[in-house]
Amino acid sequence: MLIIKKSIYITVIITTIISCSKSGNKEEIEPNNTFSTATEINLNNEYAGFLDSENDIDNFILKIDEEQIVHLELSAIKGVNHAIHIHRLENSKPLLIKVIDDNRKSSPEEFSNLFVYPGTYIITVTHGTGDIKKGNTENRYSLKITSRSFYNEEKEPNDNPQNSNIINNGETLTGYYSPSRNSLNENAQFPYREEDWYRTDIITGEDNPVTIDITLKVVSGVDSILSLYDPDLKEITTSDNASSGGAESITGIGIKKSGTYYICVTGKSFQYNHTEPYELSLKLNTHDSRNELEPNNSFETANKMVINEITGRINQAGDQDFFIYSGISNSNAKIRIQNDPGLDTALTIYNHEKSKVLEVNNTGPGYEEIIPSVHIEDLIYVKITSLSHPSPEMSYKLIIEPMYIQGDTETEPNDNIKEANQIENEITGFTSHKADKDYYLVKTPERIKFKIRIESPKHGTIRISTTDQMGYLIKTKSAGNGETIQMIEMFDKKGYIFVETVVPDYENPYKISIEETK
Amino acid sequence: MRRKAVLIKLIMFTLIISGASCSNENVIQNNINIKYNLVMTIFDTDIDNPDNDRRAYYEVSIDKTESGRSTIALESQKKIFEAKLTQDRHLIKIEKWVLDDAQGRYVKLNNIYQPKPNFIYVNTDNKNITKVTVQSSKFGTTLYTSTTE
Repeated sequence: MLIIKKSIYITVIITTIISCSKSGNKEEIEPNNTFSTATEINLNNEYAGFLDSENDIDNFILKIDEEQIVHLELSAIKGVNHAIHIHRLENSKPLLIKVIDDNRKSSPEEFSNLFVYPGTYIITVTHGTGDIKKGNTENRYSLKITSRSFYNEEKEPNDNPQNSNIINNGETLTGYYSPSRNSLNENAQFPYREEDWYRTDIITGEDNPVTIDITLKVVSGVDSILSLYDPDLKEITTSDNASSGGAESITGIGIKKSGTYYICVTGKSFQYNHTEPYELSLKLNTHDSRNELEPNNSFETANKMVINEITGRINQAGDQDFFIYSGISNSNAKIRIQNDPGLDTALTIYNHEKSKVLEVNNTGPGYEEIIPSVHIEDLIYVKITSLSHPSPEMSYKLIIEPMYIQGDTETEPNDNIKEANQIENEITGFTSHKADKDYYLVKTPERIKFKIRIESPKHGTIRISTTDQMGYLIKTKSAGNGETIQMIEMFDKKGYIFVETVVPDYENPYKISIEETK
Repeated sequence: MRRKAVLIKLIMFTLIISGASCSNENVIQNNINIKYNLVMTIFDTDIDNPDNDRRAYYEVSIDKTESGRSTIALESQKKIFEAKLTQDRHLIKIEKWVLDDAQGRYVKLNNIYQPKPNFIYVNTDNKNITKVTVQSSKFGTTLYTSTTE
C-alpha cells in the first residue's frame, strides 16, 4: 500500500515537472516545413525546435492585432549557420520583408525592432546561405519573440528609399543598428549592408532657401555613416567623421528646391548593436545670407557673397567651400580668413575664368590666413579648404576688404616670366605668401640702362634680382623692414625684375620704380 | 703781356678745377656731341664645341669704379660695352660672368679662367671713338686691340 502511494506521488511530481517545462519553452510542431503547416505562435513566448536535416525548415505563424515592435532572438545551433526569414501575408500572399542572417555558424541571430501592424506574419527558421547546409539532431534552437509598444522610432523594415520612414522638422527618432546584415540589399557598392532610410518633405525656393541640420547620436561598437540625398536620390553629402561610437552630423546644408529628401543611417563592416538605440534628429532653419549655404563644394554651387563677410563651416576633413565675390570691379581687395581655434584652412583665389590666381596656406591651425591684395576685374571665386579638422562643426569667417592703391599694382599670378606684370614706371606689389615670387617685365625699344629703386615692405624682407631676356638672374640684392635700395641694370629690349619673399609682410606692400639713367 | 698771363692762369685754374671734379664717378660724361667714345667688343676665339659655348657677359670697371656690364651673348659672340668717358687715360678692367644653368643665374667665372690680363689702359677724347677689341681663349689668354676712329 505504501509502495503504491509512493509511486503515485512520484508520478504526480514527474508529470508536474514535464508540464511546467513545456509551458515555459514551447515546441515547434513538425511537420512545419510549409507556410500552410506553420506552427502557430504568440508574442512574448519562447519556442524550441530542431533544424534536424539540411532540408529542414521550420515555419511559425504569428497573428498581430495591433501596431507594435517585435524583438526576435534565435539561439545558436552548434555547427549550423541558420537564418530567420520574415514574411507578411499581403492578400493571402507571402511577401518577404526581412532576412536575418549574420552569415556565421554556431552564432545566434537577433533583430531588435521589427515593426508589425495588424495582420499575419510567417517567421521561418531555416539554413543560412553562407555555409553548407547541415542538420543537427542533438542541439535544438530557441526562438524568443517579445513585443513592446511603438514610440517615436523607425519602422523596420525601412531598408531602402521606397520603404523609408517619415521624419519631420524638429523630430527625433530612435532606431537600431540591427540586424547586422541585410541579405536583401543587392546594392553593388554596399551589398548586404543594413541601412535605415528616412525621408522628409521640404518646401523651399531659390530666393528663400532653408538649411537642414541632421544629427545622429550613435551607440557603442558601431562606426556610423550618415548621408543626405536629394529628391532624385543623388547624394548631397555624407558625414563619416567620427570613429566607432562617435556622433555624426550634417549641418547647414542649403536646400533651394522643394521635394522629398532622404536620409540614410548605416554602420560600417556589418557592426551592430541590438540593445542600444541611436537617435536621429532633424531641424530645418531659414537661411541667413551672412552664413554659408552648403553644398558649395564646386564652382557651380559657389555661394554668392552679398556683403563683404560670410561665415562658413567645415563639416569634415577635406571639405571645400566656394564663394563668389563681385562687390568691386577693376580694383584690389585684401582677403582674410579667421579660423576657429584648431581649424587650419587654405585659401585659393580664382578669376572669373576659374583660373587659379593664388593659393595661400601661410599659418597653422587657429590662425588667420591673409592675402594682402588680390586684383578683382569683375568677380573672383574664393575656395576654402579644410586641412585639419580636430572636431566636427568648426567655423571660419571670410572677410573681403576693398582697398585703394594709387598707381599700378601687382596682378597675381605673376610667379613666372610668362605671367610677369609689365612695369612702366612704378608698381606696388605684395608678399602674398611665404614662398611668393613676383616677376615684372621691363620692355625697352633698345639697350637702356635703368636705375631701379626698391622700397621694401615695412615688416618684411624681399630679395630682388635683375634678369636677362630669358629670366636668368644677373644681380641680386636683399632689402627689408622698410629699407630702400637702388640697383643699376641695363635691359636690352627686355628683362625682368624678380622679387622673392624672404620674410612675408601681409599688411604692407613693397614698391618698385624704374627710370633711365646714363 | 700781363693780360696774357692772367688768361693763362685762368685756363690753368679751370683745368685744375675740372681735373679735380673729374673723380671716378664722373669719368662717364653726359652725352654732349657723340653718344659714346669707348666701345669694347669682347668675345672668345677658340670655342669649338657648342656645348661649351656658354651665355656670358663682362662686368666692366673704369678707373676702379663699377661701370656696368656688357651685353649678354654666347662666349663666341661679340659682347658690347659702350661708355662716354672724359678725355683722359683710363684704366679699364673686365670680369667674366657665365650662366650656370643649374642655378639659373650668372656666376663669376673662376679666377683661373678670367681674362689675363684683365685690364687695358685707353686714351679717350671727345672727338673720336676708341674701339677696344678683346679676344679671349678658354684658358683666359687675352689679346687687347685698341683703335681710334
